[in-house]
Amino acid sequence: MKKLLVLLIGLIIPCLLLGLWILADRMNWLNTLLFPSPGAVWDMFTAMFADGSLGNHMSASFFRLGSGFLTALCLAIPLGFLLGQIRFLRRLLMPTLAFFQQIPPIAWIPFFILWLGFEESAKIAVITYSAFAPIFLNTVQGVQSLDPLLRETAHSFKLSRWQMIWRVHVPSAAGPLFVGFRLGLSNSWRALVGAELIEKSSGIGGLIAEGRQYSQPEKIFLAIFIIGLAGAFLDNLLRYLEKRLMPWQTTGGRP
Amino acid sequence: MKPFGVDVRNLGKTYNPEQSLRYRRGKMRNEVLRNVSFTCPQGAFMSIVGPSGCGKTTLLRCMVGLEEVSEGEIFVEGTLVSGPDYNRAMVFQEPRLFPWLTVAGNVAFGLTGRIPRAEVRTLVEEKLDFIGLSDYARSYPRHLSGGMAQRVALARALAWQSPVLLMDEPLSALDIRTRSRLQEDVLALWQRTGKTVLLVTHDISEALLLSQRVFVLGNRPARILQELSVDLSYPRDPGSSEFVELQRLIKSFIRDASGDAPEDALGDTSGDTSGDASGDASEGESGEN
Repeated sequence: MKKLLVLLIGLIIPCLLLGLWILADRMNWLNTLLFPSPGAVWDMFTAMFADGSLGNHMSASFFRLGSGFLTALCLAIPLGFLLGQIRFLRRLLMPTLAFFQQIPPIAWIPFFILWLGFEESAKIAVITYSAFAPIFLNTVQGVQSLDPLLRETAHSFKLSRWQMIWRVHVPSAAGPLFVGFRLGLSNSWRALVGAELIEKSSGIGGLIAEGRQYSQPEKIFLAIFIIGLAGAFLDNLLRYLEKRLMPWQTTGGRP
Repeated sequence: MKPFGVDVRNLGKTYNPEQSLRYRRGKMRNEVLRNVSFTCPQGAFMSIVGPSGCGKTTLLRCMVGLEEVSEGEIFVEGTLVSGPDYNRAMVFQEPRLFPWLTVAGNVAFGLTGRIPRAEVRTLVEEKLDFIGLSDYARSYPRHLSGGMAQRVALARALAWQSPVLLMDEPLSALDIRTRSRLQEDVLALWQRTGKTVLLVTHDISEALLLSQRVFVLGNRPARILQELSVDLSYPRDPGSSEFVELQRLIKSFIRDASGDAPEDALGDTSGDTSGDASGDASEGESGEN
């Protein structure tokens, strides 16, 4: 019951905005060349949904997101654990990583295209790059945040090295790790759309490029809605997983 | 011959400049323990008291195997200590529960992967029942009060099923009422399980209430200054004249140790209770109490 209420409160502003938009359209306040009408966006949606092109764009984007994000996970988590454990590696690598962290992934696109070609790999590289930093840094922080007293306690119970990692380091790093996942996922989702926009292609970003080229503002609007909704959906999915996997966490940060 | 529960021989512990960055700067060797020797028969309850910061905790940590000894040897149940092992369990000053495990999971911590799952479950249920927290088996540590958390830590150490239990001021952070309840619990567990229990505490009456023998540790570098047996029957009455007399005696030892009394005045480390009681009466003139 309370959850429903929270949901309804959150929907107040979107509904007001939608109402205002519909009203402005009815009153003919909109210049539909600059600002599409709700009906036009809806028609665009149904048409593209029916002929399957919307589905194609979305699956292209999600495929890239999935493979890029998984690559980032496979690189960032082991490396983060290693650096979190070994101080020398931290000192060796952190300054360099701090440099690369500051560069927006999209800045690399020309080079990624030169090096990896116009195919999928350049875009996937952008996603991996943008997801890597937050996942990696949060893993390092999570590993380091292990309470030394708990490590000692575990040691007094004669845990082996692997048991130590699996039963102490991993659960203790789980909180920061999930923060990293969520940041990484939303980072890479945004970077993906940017990448698809710059280099005209399939995908949600490509939809925007198409809309711009053929002066179809309703197409751009449709893409924006999908980007926002899909991003929010993914973030909530991760939050849900976080809650399920880590029932010991306080439900902090929730309104 | 039956081995001692705990046998500490000429133990010395120095934090060397090479071992610790913190002390390198001051170029000082930090000698914490010097020539500490004592034995604890199997099934006995012994306490170690001493002025704060004297190295009681270091001594216990050496016994668990969390700290390397610099000199001498420690034997637990006849085996040389060279790291944490199955024959001794430690209860720390803080509960140190793993926040990601339930109460039951914490109690099972040392058993997982060591014995079959079904056995773990019955053992955990048994220990939780013993500390009276069966209803909290599925709760997470953040829902527990300090006293409850420390009881879970106690159950975790019990479930480890070691013949020797080492306790480092486990009750010092608790309020008086909770503390005296836990003291009863500790006493009951010792009487029921027959474990060898070694308790480090700065609370003299706690040591006298629970243990059969009390070791008094001196200032750094600490040695055993006195060894007293407490020949009172359980449950003990802190108001009885013998109790009060012993308490006064230990207090004066500790005061002398932490004060500026010359070393040779404390001298005789192997003196027994009666002999020292008379010796102390003559010098315990200062108006404490």
